[in-house]
Amino acid sequence: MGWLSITAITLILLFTHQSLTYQIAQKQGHSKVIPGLIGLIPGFGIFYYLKLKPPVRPSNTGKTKSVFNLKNILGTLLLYTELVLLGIIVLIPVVYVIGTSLNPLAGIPNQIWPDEPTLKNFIFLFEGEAQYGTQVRTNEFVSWYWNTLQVAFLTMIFSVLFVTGTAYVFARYKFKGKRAGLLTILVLQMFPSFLGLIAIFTLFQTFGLLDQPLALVIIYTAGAVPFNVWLIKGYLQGVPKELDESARIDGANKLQIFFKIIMPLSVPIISFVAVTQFMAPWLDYILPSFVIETEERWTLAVGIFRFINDQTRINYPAFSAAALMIAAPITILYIVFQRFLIEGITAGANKG
Amino acid sequence: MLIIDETRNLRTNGFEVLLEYDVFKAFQESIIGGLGGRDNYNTDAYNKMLVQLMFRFDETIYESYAEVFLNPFHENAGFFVKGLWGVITLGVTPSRTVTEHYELTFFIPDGFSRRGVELQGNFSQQLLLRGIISNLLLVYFIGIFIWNIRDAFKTSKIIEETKKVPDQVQYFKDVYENAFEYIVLMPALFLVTFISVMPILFGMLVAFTNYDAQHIPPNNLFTWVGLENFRVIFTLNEQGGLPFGTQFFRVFSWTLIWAFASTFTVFFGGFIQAVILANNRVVFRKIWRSLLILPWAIPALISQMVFNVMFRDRGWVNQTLSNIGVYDWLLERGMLGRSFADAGTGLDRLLYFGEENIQWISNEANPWFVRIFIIVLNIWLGFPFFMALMTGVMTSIDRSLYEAASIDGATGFQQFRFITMPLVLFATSPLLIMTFAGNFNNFGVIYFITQGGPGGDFTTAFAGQTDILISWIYKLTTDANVRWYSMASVFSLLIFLIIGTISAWNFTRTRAFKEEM
Repeated sequence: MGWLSITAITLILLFTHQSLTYQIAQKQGHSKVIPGLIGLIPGFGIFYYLKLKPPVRPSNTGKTKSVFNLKNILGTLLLYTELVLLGIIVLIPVVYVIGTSLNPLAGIPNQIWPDEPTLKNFIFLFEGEAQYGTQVRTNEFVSWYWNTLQVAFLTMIFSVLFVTGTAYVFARYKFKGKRAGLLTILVLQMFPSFLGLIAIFTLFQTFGLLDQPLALVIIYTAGAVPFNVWLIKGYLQGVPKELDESARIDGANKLQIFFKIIMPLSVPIISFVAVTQFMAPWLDYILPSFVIETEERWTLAVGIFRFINDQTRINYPAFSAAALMIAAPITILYIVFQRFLIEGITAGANKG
Repeated sequence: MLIIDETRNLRTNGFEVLLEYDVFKAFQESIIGGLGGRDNYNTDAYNKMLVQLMFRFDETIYESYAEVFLNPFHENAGFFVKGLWGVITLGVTPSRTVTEHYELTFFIPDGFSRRGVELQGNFSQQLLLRGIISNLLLVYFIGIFIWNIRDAFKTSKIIEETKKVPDQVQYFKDVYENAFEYIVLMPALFLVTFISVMPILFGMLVAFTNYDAQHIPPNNLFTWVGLENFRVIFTLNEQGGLPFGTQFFRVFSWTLIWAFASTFTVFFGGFIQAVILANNRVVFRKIWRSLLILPWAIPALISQMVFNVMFRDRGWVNQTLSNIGVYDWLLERGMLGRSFADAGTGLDRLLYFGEENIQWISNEANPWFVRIFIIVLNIWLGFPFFMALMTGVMTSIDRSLYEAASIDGATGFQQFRFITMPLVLFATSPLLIMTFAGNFNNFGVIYFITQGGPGGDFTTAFAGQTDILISWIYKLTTDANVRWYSMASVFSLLIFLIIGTISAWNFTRTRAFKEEM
């Protein structure tokens, strides 16, 4: 742990230095990015900017001194202490998973980084078999992945099909039963689909769908309708109605208006729905764990939870490797599109 | 030699043996199929044949079975009638095993053993499900029927007025134009009715039955019990020896505490972090933001499972704490190293961490330690979303507000208190209620980190110390040793009422509702 505290203190000091440099540069009227980078050179940055001639004549020259008052320095220090510590807390589980996925032993890993990192666990997942200690372990990761991919893809296609048409009608037309329909959808979207678990199980049992991953698509699609209809409906109401009307005057019928005008204009929200629907099956545990029994038919979420929860299958490194492979693409996607996604979620809540 | 094997019964649906079974074919199957040797004799077929013979010999025995197993509603009624009958009765015939053919022992040659032949009873749950489906379909058909009549009426009026029969093509065009909305809605409506509404109805109905471990069809049918399950809960009673009443209120109050505490901590945690991040001193704000938003971007399911591994009794966290000497410090203060009984009173008990290790998620003696720990851990999972959201709101606040305030002499804190805070809280409060509803049903945090534990056996009706309603429902439904569907449904219904009311109330306050309704 010694190295961790040393790193933390170094980072705090470094960032404080960077911030002070930046503050001076700002007071002198320099551009924003370069002072931030130069500030990362310890000891050098502050003097560099103190000596540098300001690019613009500052109206209040005396103020660079205010950067060096004790209150400001302590405040900066405190600020960066918080940020660095929080950053470490955020990163620890991430580093731990990466470290564990490289661990050659199947037991519970007590090091954050293994002494002899190996890619064995990834190979184990793809080849389905590997030796841990004296034991030979097997798994069906490839089939889980394939099942989940199929389910996710079909869910995405069907959800978009079912949702867009319905949302279009609700957003644009007045008809009998609209109000009741909207209220029903509203009530339905509040419920996690697994409250109907017994019924879904019985339904699958009655129609012979138990133990078939593709049957999950029906449930996911139906479950997606209420919330996403609200979402797209809210978006479509922001698309000016005049567009429809002018198209109608030019002789377009209702379907043509939908395909030629509404669809192209709502590409952003449709792709949001498509992406979220594609991701849902990767992370759903409850439903597949209840209706699918055979190991090679599991979805990923079920499979990897068994790696840490099922006495006969316990394999923490394999769990970590699998978790990494699922989480990495999704995480990157989320980071890149964070703004877009958060707006999407907020829109769902505010516009209803 | 006669081998008597009465332990394994042969399962048939009653219909087959009672009516359709062919004695000669059975004889062929049982004997001739076994010509290759005694091991190949088909005992099942032979026993079925014996039952058949028995029924032919003794009319009264046949009658006693036929009376219950050849139920006219179950066997012969049409789709809708059978559906209605199923919902009303939930089946009438449990499975029964025919053993009367044992009297025909002299017919059992060497190499065959006698075996009970089970006549399969009704599956109450499937009858209920089919019943709901058929009734929903019936509603659809009645709707179409009414529409037909109205349409015929309208057409007859047109004919009366114009003395002309409308031509087919024009008619369908009109229908398409007028009913376009309904035609587009049909597929989604159908899907939602049968996949979303039907299970909810089913769940609600099961709450009024005794579908539990002691009533698993077809051996033991379940039946309507009215408000009995609700009475058990609200009079703090037991059912089947399990204390559902008292446990419900324990779990329910913890669910409420959990929902409030986790929402509050996450909301204000995110707010504080957003304020810190908005400070002018922070350089490269976007990079810091992307780093701190990681817990939101990583799928929660994965991080919850990772926490489960990290915080086990002999997990990495404990190992590390022990290595850096935190254990010694805790041992000195008695927070570790002795049993709960010796841990003293009051605060000492609350600060009891465990005996050998810090029991983050398994401290059965001191569940409040685990509960508080879960709430704290949940901040990690939840704060980034609010942080990102509020950062967005803060950047969108009009700068001129701050300028005006500083001209009027407001200090930095006053600007924050009277401009930033009200605006941010106002903009994000609708999400607060949504988050509350989400946390109320936050299955993942509880199930993947603690599995509802510590504790949770039959003395607490299988509810662990950190179980919230939804994870308890999950356990009652999916655990093969528990299977208390009726109570699970009762709790679902209660969640439905609570969350439904909150969300509906929240929704009536939104702009969308006021515009739409």
